[in-house]
Amino acid sequence: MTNVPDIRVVRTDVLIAGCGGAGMRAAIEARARDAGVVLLAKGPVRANHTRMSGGRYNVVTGLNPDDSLDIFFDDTIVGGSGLNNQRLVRILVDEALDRAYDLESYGLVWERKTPTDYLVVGSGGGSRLRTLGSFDEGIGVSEVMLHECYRLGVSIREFQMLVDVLQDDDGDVVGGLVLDLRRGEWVVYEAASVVIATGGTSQLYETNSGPAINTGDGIGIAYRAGAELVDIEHMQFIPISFVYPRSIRGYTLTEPQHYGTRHNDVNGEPGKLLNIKGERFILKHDAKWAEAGTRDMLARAIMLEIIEGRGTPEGGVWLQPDPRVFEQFLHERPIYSKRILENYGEKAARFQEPLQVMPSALYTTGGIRIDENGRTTVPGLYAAGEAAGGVHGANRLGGNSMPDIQVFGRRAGLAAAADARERGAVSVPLQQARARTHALESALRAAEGVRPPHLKSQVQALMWNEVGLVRSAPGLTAALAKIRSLRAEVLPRLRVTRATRVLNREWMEAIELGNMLDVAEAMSVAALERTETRGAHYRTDFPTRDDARWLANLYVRREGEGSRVERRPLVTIAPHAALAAAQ
Amino acid sequence: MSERIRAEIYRHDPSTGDAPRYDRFDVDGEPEMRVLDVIRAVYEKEAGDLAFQYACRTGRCGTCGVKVNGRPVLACQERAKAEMRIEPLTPFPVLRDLVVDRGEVEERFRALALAPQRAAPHAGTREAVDPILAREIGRLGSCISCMICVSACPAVAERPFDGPAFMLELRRLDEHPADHGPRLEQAVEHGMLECFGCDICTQLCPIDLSPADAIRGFRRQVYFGSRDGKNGATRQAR
Amino acid sequence: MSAVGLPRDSTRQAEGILYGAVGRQLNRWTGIYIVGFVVVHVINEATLRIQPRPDVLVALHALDVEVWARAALHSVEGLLYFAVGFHFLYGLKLIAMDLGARLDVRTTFWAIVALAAIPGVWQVVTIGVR
Repeated sequence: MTNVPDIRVVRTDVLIAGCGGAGMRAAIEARARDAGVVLLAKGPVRANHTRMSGGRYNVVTGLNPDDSLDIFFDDTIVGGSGLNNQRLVRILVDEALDRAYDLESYGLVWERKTPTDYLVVGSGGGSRLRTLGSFDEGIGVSEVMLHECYRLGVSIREFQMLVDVLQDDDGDVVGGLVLDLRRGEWVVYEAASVVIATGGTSQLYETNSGPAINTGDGIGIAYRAGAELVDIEHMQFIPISFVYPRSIRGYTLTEPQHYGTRHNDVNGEPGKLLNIKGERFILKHDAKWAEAGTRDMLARAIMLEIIEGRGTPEGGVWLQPDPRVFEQFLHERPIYSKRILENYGEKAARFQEPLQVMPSALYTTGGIRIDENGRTTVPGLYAAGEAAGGVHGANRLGGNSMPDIQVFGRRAGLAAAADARERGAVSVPLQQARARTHALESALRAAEGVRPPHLKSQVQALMWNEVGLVRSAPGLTAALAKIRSLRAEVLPRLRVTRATRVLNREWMEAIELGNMLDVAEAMSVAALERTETRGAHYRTDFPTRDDARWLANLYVRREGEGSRVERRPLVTIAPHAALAAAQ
Repeated sequence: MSERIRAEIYRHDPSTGDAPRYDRFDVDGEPEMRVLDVIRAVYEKEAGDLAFQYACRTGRCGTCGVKVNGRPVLACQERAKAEMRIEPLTPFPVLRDLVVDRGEVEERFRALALAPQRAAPHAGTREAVDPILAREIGRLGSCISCMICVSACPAVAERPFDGPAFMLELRRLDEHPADHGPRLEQAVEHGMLECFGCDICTQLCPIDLSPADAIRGFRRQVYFGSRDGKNGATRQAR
Repeated sequence: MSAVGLPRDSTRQAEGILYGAVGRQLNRWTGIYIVGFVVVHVINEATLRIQPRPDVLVALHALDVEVWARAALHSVEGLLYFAVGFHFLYGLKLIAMDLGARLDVRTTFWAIVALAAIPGVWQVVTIGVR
């Protein structure tokens, strides 16, 4: 191959993969501490998941006298079915407010009732009103962070995809192997700290709410590097999303409670979910919380109605919004009103007729195991945001991912910068990188084989059907075998239509599929292991929660060509009354 | 809509010496189909080497802008036409096929220094902002930087003008009570006075913003000055 | 229906008239048309006493007089009224919006076209019938 350019080597202190909220927050913090920072974006810098979110931010501001840090802590743990890493949750609730002020300092303007009283609303699973928002939603959150990155001089590289981390003989991370998709060239970043902030894996599922770039790259990379994953069996499905048209199918409609008076009042009524017979089926599952329950319960209940034949012909159920909250909904969420108008028509947009809704893969609840400072189990490797696990346990509360990416993005950036300074210069083993690039270019060389989009849709259907909302031992076992055979037999046989190196989408997808299959394997292994139902993880063969055996976390680690899964006790802290007294 | 959709798609790889061309594809129509669905169907079934860009498919990331029958639109939002020509967004350099290089756009954003320029650091407590003004800033902040308006703007084509989206961002900062950057001067320097007031940007903005209104806000500051320091005149006018 | 306005359905942006583009072009061409007429008329009036008249002034005079005198060219005259009306109103609209008026692009465009067409159509109809 004469036209293959050699590897370009670039030195920096901190390499951050992923330009969503967590990656940008890590970059801001590391750069503010004078570390050299390179922030990689797989596509254009604005293509990220943070931007797609409603930007709702759970925080105890002191404006709601009924709320407290301890209640926020409890809600998060209860919402996460007890599996959360309590040390991380404590940090989340304690630091969320300072990080909300950070966003304000970057230029975000929270919605407010008076000049200094933020508007505080409710969120699913939250027992108190504690959710902030801004009119510009996730767009505003990501936009102000981007401008802060620009202000600090963070170097942002668009269309650069982290492919693997590079490790020295001790297994310590010394940099990253990156594909510059614009030129089809390989770049090696020499960096003492590498932060994974590549987001989740929603693309593993055929109906998903996330951006096309969320293929679990960073989780796959960390897994291959030997990092432990935690709670990876828990995938969050948003209970309600668009059912049609195809382009928007799966895009989140948030939570039923925002379609009713409970949006403002914990004693109010959420929007009602009805099956095709007009039955309020949710009452069978949770008579107390009903449609205001946690996302896991709602998504499962809706999916069961659809699977059991009581859904609409298009594959959804009905959400009956309360016309009385239409004006407020429009006022607070005009972007959602617009999407409903464009896809479901004016009556639906005015809450004068029911909307068709279905569950959709939203958020990877588990992920790379991190400590309080974003350190993974591999030295030099950090993770934050959706790619990391532990904060949300088995289910994430609506409005908890925004503080998560701010709090732990910052902590990861801080630790990565400090550790990089301490470690000093590192040098990468270029031979290791060259061997890897040769393997990764096999799809460019193959004359025949399978096109990546075909394998991708196969994986997505498999995960949706067997490792999705409804799981069982036979399905999971079959799925795991299939995933392993696809990885062993089809992945090496992928081929591209034309061997151009410039923005070759098929080539990019071939590399993504390596990550997707690795994460799919870890998810299936852990899901098979957890023989109970908890949070987002529902087993038809073990339909009840089993606290005696399963109030514990599962950790998955790569071992050889297989994986090793371990059950370990929860990470707990002293009860918070004592903690509060100690502070 | 079960008829065929005929799409002519611009193909060009500047890294080779080949001239640009249009490839014609016939795709099965589906109800409510969007332009992005057509592009994805072409990629999945016919042209695996097609280069195109999208991420969110819901009009939020602003990265899927293309020209459909000559008019700039978001591919994920625009309904597919029975006959359409799909081209990359002008006037940006083409990387390959439908993907353009936004590097210069980002450099302009960077150069405009759009983080609030504060007189004193943020106090770490709730910053006072009038609730109605907060909504207005949030409204301007929902610009997705898709560059549809910049692509469509005749003043950008004829005159030294950065484009409507940049003015909107400057306006957001000018409205922000904590920002003390010279936003009006920046706007003038970057061509604000070249705007024709034609409102093409208002009509084509996929998220219902009006960059032209933002420009007119700046113009009123030019005509009348600020009454009580920053923001006074525009607040009154509104 | 509630009085509260919904956001726009912006899924058909590539269809229909781009009002800003048409308006701006019309403003440009009506301006050129007006200037063209004024130049012809003023030069003709200003040079009436020049003797002997060169061919170009004879042609200019013929153009100026014939635009006004010949019934067949009343449409040209009507167009002139339209041009003046459109150019005037479009300019007023730009000033009004710069001063803070909030006007809808589409309705304003059609209103200006309709108002500008009235004197022209009136002229053509009345003179044409006479």
